[in-house]
Amino acid sequence: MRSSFHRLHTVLFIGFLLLGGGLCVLHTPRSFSEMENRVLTAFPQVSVDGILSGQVQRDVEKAAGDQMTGRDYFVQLATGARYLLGERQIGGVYIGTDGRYLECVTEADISEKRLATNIMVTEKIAQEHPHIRTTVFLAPTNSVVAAELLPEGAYTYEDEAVIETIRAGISDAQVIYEPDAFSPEEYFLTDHHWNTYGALKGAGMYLQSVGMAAPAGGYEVIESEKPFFGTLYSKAPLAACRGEDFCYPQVENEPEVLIDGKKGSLYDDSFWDKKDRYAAYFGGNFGRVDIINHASGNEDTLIMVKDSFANSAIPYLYQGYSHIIMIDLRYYNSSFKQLLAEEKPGELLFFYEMSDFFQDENFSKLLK
Amino acid sequence: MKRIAALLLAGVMALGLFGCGEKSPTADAVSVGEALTQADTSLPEMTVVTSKDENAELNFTTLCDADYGLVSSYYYAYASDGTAPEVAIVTTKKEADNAKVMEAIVKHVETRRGTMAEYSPEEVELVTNYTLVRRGRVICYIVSKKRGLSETAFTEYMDGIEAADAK
Repeated sequence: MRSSFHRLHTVLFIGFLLLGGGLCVLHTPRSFSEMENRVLTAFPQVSVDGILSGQVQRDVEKAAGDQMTGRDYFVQLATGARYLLGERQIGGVYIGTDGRYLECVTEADISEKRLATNIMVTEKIAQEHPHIRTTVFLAPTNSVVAAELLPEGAYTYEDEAVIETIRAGISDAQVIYEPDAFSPEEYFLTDHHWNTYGALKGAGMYLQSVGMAAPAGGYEVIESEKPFFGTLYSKAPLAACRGEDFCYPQVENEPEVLIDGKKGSLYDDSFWDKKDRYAAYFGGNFGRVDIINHASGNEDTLIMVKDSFANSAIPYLYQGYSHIIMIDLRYYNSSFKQLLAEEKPGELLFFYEMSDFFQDENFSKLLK
Repeated sequence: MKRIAALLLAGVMALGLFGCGEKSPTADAVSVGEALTQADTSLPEMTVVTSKDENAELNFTTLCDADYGLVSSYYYAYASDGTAPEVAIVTTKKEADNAKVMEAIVKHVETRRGTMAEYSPEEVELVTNYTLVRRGRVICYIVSKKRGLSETAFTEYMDGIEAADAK
């Protein structure tokens, strides 16, 4: 009796290993995990050199984890287990008290030197171009806006101290930062960006600050059929999360768009059903994007030095300008001084989410 | 007599100790960096900033936020299209300061990896598999599909310098 039990035990154990291993090798390999928003390692080509160097063994180990049958389910299971054990900071994000995902940005992420550099460069540009109306617009971080929804024991950076430093260092440009004006509902539940309602409010704040009327709202919105799961969700995918709506404002008189000099469009429909749906604005981030609105009565050009938060604000901003030039310093490597000289903008706008502003490593490019 | 001999021996030992100190090879970062980028054929079009530029100190902040006072010279090339490849050579003034600069570069890598994870997940692995090594006062940082080519070029360049120093 006892011996047959042991035999069954052995057979089951070996069978489980063979089944798991077999499925892992036989099922169609995936190259990308939409849920985790990352590239998966494929099984390597086996070669004698690769085996001798140990590279093949290392790649097989990685691929076995990445190509495991039911990986998405197991990742969700592991995240769910950690959540049930009481963890609320998983994969570098906080899970808020209402289940929303919040960015974990702390004092450790602030480099005083980098912040000082970015302030100095901004001020220098504003000083050197007194005829250009310069503004720094900072959108609050989602964990600052939803501070009351942070899980117990969670903390975030002191945004008040940061804005005080920025205001003290920038005197030749207007600084706009109004975290209290935003509500958690104006940010995505699963992504660090603001949603189209947050973008509408942000754009309105800027337009009012330069003496224009804020967009009235009431736009028709286009909603996607599939639920949206943002980049924060990818870091800690919980099975209980049902995703959320993602919508864009329907605009009249769509502007002419040039992306790095080539014809583009305000919305890129190919991202409509993809995981990275925020990239549907212009198709992602590019070094230079020109938005030309022939119907605008305002002849002024606006140059925006920006992060991705600006992309969703453009549908509300472009009506006010004949020409907006968006510059993303991560990808822009031409001379900014020359751009200012050639385009002669009436307004220059630094448009950033606050933590992106103090973490951006590329401000020195503005002095080229 | 014994006392004199003991003193002489102690003196010889002390001199010997000085001689045992680690050789600290150094090189002009710009020359090393140019050799590396030429060697790596997989690199895309690169934008280069160096310690010889007008805004050298400010441009260094694009690579890392280490104190520029620690740096003797640097060469930094990054992909013009904003993709992951990067090559940097930093020569410090004192070898003891290498750790501070290398720590700041690791922080830079973390920031890059975070950005790539959100906007270009296909680039994450390239950034994760970076090379950060040092020889004497020269620090070498490489993110490239064929970083082995740059690593070999770095080793050969530094071997050449050490061999020249030895002569």
